[in-house]
Amino acid sequence: MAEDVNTSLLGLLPEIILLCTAAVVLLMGLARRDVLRRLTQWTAVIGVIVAFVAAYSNDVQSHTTALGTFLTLLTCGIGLLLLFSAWEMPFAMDPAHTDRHYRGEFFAMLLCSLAGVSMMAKVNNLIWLFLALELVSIPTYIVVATGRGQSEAQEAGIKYFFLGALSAAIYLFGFSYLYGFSGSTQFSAITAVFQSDISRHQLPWMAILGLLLVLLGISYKIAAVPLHFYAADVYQGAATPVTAFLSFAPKAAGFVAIILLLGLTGWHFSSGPDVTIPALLTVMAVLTMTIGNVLALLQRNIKRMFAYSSIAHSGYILAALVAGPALVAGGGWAHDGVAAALFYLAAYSLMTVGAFAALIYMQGKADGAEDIDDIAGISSEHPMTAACMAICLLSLIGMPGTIGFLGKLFIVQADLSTGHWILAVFVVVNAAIAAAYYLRIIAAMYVREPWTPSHVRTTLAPRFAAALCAAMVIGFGLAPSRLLSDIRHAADYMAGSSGTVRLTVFKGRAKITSHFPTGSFGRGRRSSLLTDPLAGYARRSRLAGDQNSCVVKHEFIFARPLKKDTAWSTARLLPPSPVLERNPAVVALRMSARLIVR
Amino acid sequence: MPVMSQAVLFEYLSLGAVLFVLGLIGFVARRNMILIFLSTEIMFQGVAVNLIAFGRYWMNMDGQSFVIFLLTIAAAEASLALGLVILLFRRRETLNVDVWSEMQG
Amino acid sequence: MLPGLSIMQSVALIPLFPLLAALIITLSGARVLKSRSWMPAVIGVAISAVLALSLLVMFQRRNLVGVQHLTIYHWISSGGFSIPIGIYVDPLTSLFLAFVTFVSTLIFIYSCGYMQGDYGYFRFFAYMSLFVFFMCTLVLADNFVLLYLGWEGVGLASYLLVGYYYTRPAAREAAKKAFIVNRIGDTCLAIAIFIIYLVFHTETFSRIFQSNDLKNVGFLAAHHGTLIWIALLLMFGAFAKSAQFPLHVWLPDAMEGPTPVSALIHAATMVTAGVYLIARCMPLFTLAMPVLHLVGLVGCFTAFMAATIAMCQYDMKRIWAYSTVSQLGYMFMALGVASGTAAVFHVFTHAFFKALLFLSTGSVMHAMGGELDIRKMSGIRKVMPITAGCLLIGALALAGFPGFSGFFSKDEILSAAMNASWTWGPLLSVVGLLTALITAYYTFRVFFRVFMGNLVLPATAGMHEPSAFVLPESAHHEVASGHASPGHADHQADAHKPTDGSAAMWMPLIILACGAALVGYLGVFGGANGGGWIQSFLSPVHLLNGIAPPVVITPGTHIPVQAVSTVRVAPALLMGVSSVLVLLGVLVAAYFHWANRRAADAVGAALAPVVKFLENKWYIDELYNYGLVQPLWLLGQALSIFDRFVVDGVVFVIGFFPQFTGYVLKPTQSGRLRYYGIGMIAGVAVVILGVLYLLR
Repeated sequence: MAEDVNTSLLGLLPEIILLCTAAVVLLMGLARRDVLRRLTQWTAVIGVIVAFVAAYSNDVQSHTTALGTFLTLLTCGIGLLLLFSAWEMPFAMDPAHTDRHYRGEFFAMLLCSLAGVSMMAKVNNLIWLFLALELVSIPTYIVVATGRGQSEAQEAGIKYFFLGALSAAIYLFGFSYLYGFSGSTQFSAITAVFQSDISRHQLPWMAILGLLLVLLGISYKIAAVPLHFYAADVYQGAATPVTAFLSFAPKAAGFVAIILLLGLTGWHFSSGPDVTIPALLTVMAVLTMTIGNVLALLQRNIKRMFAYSSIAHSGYILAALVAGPALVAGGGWAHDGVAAALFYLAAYSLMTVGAFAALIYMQGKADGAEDIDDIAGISSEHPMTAACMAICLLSLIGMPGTIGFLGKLFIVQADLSTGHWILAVFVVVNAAIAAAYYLRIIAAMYVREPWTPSHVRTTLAPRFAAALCAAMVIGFGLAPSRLLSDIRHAADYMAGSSGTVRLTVFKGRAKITSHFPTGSFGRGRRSSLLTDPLAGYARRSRLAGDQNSCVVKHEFIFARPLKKDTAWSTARLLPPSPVLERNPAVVALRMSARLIVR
Repeated sequence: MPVMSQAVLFEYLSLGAVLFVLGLIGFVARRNMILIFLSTEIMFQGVAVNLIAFGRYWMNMDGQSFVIFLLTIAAAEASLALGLVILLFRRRETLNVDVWSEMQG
Repeated sequence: MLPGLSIMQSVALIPLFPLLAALIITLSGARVLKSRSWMPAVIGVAISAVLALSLLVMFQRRNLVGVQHLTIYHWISSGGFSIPIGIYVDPLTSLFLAFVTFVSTLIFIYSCGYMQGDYGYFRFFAYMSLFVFFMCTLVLADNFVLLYLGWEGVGLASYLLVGYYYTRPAAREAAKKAFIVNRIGDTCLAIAIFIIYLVFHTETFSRIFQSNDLKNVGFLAAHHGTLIWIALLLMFGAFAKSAQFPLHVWLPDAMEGPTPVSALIHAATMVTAGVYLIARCMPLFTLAMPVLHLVGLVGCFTAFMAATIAMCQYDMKRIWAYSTVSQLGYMFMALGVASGTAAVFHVFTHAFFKALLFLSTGSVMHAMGGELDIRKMSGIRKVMPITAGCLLIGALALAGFPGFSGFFSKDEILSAAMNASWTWGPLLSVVGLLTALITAYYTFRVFFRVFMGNLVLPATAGMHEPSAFVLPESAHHEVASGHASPGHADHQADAHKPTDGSAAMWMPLIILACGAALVGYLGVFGGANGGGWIQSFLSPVHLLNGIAPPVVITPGTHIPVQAVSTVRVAPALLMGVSSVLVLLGVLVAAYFHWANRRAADAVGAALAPVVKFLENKWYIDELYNYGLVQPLWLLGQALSIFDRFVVDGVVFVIGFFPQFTGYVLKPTQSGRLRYYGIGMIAGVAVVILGVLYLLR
């Protein structure tokens, strides 16, 4: 964390591309010529693809963090799927004059908002963070209110906008206190203040108050309790493609903002023995997932059901965040709550966008089916779309073989390995409750007789998006390694920020001494350090330390004495392979080599 | 330029907090959409007072530049609010926010 | 092997071609491919066969030696536990792959003609391709979890194909029976896999079999009981899949599936998976000798029992089914005396001659309108000469007639048993010889009854097998003449005459017949030091015969012949005895079923109780029904009452709780903007005030 993000504009190239495309799309939408207006969607798609490619390039990656790259890639990828899902939106927005109005506006807003999400992980300043958050939100206010003609959309718009402004005021008030506490809006400066001894600071209460307000204010974006009230009405009222967008963009932005802010405080911030951020997050997580799920059980309106389920999934991600980041970069998944949260975020985005895309296709024109009865028996007429929907829903339940299963697995693992077993129990119980309402949709599609003959008339784009999502839900569920390594990388940015690891090789013996501040995040963590795979291989592992830090010492013996230089090069050059991974010396050496290189 | 003392800082912070709480109260007590929006503006101004005071206290420009951006965003939101209010007024011919409560449960 | 890919990457593709074919057929079979559905299946499996054969050649030429690994990816890793999807290739794998894909290809081609015009033609090929995919996965797996995936997958494919004619009640029942009996074995296998993880902390073959633990005396002493359990459970898994007593009951019933299915899955390939499992796990079994001996005894008993039952059955496919059970018994007998090579050799020859027998029988069935009762036909060599010739070669091979493949492989087993260091080995060998006599008798009973003597055709001859499906009128014409090639379609008269069928049907028969006649010589010639090719080819397989192979094999290295403790009976003597017995069996069959059929009836009447006992398959099904099924059914009834009133009640109460909470919370979503604002502010206030209170 201490290292500053390089502020070179090259790192922001994907966002610049997205915003420029937004401007072009906006202008094209105003064009006199029909041809140009018809090309807006394609322009938007090309813009997102170019941004994706740009984010992938080494030049851009070297100017930003792994987390930033990951978020940009995720945003562009999901954004592309969202664009496909929303392909028909301009017609749906104003059925009276299909071709005359609004052509470009919707996609321009979408692109602006995506740029905001993408920028989120690259910010290094409170001001910038605020601007990025608002860049995400303001376009969504517009598209919610104007997304479709019904009065529900306007009701949703007014609620979303006013409550959003309220939440913005709350977290801004928090920002002002964080600034007041540390004397700077620069992240690096704030981190430095938080890592110094807080109790001797002039304004200690300001830190906790500011942090609380910020977390609560931003929890509006992720629809977490107690700022979740708006979600159901807004999701229901907005046009379905907009709802799909809402389930991704503000949520991703909000979670990354929370991760960054918790990272500012070193993840283990507490002021006083009983008042800890993890405790607050725990309560929020439990309430969020439970309230979301029990309210979803009662819904007949699919979009409203998804709104509550979206609240519940935020609860799961909060549960992952409670586990905190990995103590050492490159460690296993077991202790890494941040990686679990990022993975779940990606997984949730894929499955929910897939489900929404399928729903959009089933609805035909955007003001079609809303109620669960409207899609009853749809599998006989649209088997492929129904199958995509079913796959995404099964993944949301957490069926093995899908990405959703891995997501929940990592969360539960992270919580258990850090001693938050209550959260793990709540996640599992809630997953079981959630299965009831997801399965109700699947049952309606497959088991029930059609309610009314459906007259679906849409382009294939939403179906394409749904199929893509379903394929990825299965694909990443079965072969997640690439995604996992990217996320590992992204999460390592947070991990081990203040721990030190030292490796000594002497006469065939290697000693690894790690020193970690644990604080309140580490209650269960300390015992888990001894049970981690490394400890099993070490000849002797010892654990020491006080309440706020711990020291772990592992000692290894090599089969034959290695010179120090040999050991180093071995550790760095060996390609990753499962067989070698089992070799304790290699594990230890690689791990430490990476740490020391950092 | 004399450095601001903590006592003076707290006076400004109190002002900011009072503005903020006034905004909160206005937000829930008013039914008129325009007044509700103005309440959020008041909360923003409370934040702005805080930021300026802290900027002065720490003797750096971070707070003031924050306020500039804050005002810009607030202006953007105001225009958005205006548009929204007109849109809603056209449909229902009233500014009372309580009529917009069809979706619930 | 394939351009741009390493050898191991190409090997990893072997299962994928059939999978791809299955996917293509599933997606487009019903609407696009229709009667062309065989194309992707045949092409896919043929490519796999070419790859598998070239892999075999690689091993033969020592381009590949020892064990090759390729980890394709890690599906999941959790703490120290990880499930890699990887392949493990050694000569054993390559041999299995080669014959599985090769025989599959021939059977697929045969099926193109045989299944022509059947309702759900594409479904058949989709399932068959899926089966080949899972079978290859099973054989290629480099860990127990992946093997289990293949194991369950072939079980699934078998279930689907046995129940292929799902409108027939018998087929449905048979499919269920196959699935449920296999479930017992699968459960045992799964438990074995769990225990293996507990003991070895890994599921990967190479790490288990070559782990130092297996050489560590202390480890072995500490885990002796556990190793016995592992071996025992693996054994039951193998017994269910390979239809060994007491879990053999599903295989004869599984003949309800189409004949190519019986040939491929229930004779040549899937049922040998159990043999593969034990052969692969031989390093574990050699540490649990009592279990290995049990394997041998059960195999021996099964071989004898199934052969006696086969003597008194009248349905041709059932006879071959019992014969399969019996031959599998031989294979387990070989495993029981720790002679994996002999077992695998017999698997190999059996695949050829049993597939040949089934396919020939399929041709008979095709020509006779679905009739299989050997009492209702006679002398049909006159109308189907090619089939008669092929079936004769298959019968000679199965009977172990000198010079044919079954002779060599069976003899290998018998001599391995005779010369085993185990006291009971010779007993197994003697029972094996007796069984060989019976085998020769029942095999030629079928041949002489059906193909020799005066021409008698059943009433249904020449008609298409009565379809299980109700077909639309328009399709009827196609079905009636379906088995003939398109050129014959206009000759209605020809369609009613029983023939050998189209070229797609008799060509594979001839190829298989060549195989059945000749592959036995691989066990005699072509190997190093004058031994058989198969023995030297399999010699690098780790502990296949309970003896460690030479560690490094390079061209020119001396490969020692398998050391056998004491040679008590010379193989040549054994060969002589078995030849005599086989000839005797054939002659007896010829007398009773060709020359003087009345005498057979007279003997049958004289031995009526025995015949009845054998006709009813030793009453094992009845025993299961009254001993297991009925009591379990009663228990199930009792539990169902408990479930309905107690468990459901509890579930209802638990399920009600979240809904109740939902109803309580519902009013918070009032729909009013200002109330939402109040809710949010109250939430924030509670948090802030709470913190202030705690910090006071």
